Amino acid sequence: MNEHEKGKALKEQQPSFEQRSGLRELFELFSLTGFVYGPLDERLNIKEALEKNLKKAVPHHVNWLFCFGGLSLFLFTVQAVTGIMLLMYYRPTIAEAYKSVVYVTNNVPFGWLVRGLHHWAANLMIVMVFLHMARVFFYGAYKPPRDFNWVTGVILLMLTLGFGFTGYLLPWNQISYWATTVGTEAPGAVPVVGGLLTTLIRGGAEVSQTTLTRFFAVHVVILPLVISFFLMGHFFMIRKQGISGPL
Amino acid sequence: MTMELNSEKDQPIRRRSFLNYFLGLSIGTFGGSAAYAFAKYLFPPAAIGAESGSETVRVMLAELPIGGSKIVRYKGEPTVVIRVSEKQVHALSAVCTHLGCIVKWDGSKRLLVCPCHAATFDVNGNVTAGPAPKPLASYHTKITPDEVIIGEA
Repeated sequence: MNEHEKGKALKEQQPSFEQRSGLRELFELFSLTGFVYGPLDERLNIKEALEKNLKKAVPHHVNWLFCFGGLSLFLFTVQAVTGIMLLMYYRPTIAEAYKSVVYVTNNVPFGWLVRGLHHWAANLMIVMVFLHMARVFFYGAYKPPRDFNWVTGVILLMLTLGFGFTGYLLPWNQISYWATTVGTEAPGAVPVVGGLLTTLIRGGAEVSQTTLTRFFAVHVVILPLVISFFLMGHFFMIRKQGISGPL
Repeated sequence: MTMELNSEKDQPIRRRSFLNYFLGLSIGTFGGSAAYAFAKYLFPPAAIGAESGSETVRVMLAELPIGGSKIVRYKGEPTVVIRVSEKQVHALSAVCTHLGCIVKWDGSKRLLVCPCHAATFDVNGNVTAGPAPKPLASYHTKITPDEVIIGEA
């Protein structure tokens, strides 16, 4: 079937004039489905791509335990959206960070909700990532040919924990200050370069404005870019190799 | 076979399309309420002129029984208005000076109690117990025959 015939066949599938209702026309106009399923589909085969992805059959042995990876991705999306929302008000200076967090929580409409979602989804994401890892481990799904995907998964775990560690400092309250002091003390135990590492992470001798600036930059720019790269690799690999076999 | 197909087509609405509409409606409801919260979030109270100095807030006396309280927004901050007697009304910042939770009026103890760490304040805002380091900010109030005006001297 050449392109011309394909377009003609698609046109014939569309409902006839008598079958169309005003409500449907309005919905298709405003939701853009008319455009996506119409002119755009004729050129890019959107429908076919959607069907392929949304109605892709999974193997019979797949059960609810296989959901943890998807849940981690869902929570990551929640973090991205609520994180961008919080950036609209957050001020990364030691004088104003805490004040701006209190302002978001108490004064901004639904600010408590956005901050609460960011807080709880962060905790849940770490739980889901660990459950996902446990599932992959006990099913033996890390074995070749999926061993490289296990490696990207471990990198993703580290990046998730990095998000948690850097994000914890940002409200600049007592608990975050001391948690960061203790947390940045730990690399100091590394032989030879330990002291250098601690200074590098803190941007000085102790946790200060430089540390806050650094952690903010890592939390909102560097980690999101790096994690997107590894997420794509993780998903491309699972798509190429398929879900692993039963127990 | 063809009979069955036809009979299903004759039905005004099929089970699958009903479920699809239902799913769409649920997603629309959930997405709509999330979009509403997010749209409201982008307009902070200061941006709509609530932080100007000469601003006053009026509360109808009918909404404020004796011994009762009401949370209003004054200068962009949650503010608690307490009516202790017929002609006596107090207005205080409702933001606890300890960690910023919203305090509540306990009519039986005649105290403002913070739900987070049990700091308590009297009707003038002074700390009576708990971890709060400073008293609550107190605002001027004026009673007219049918309403309370918070702010203006």
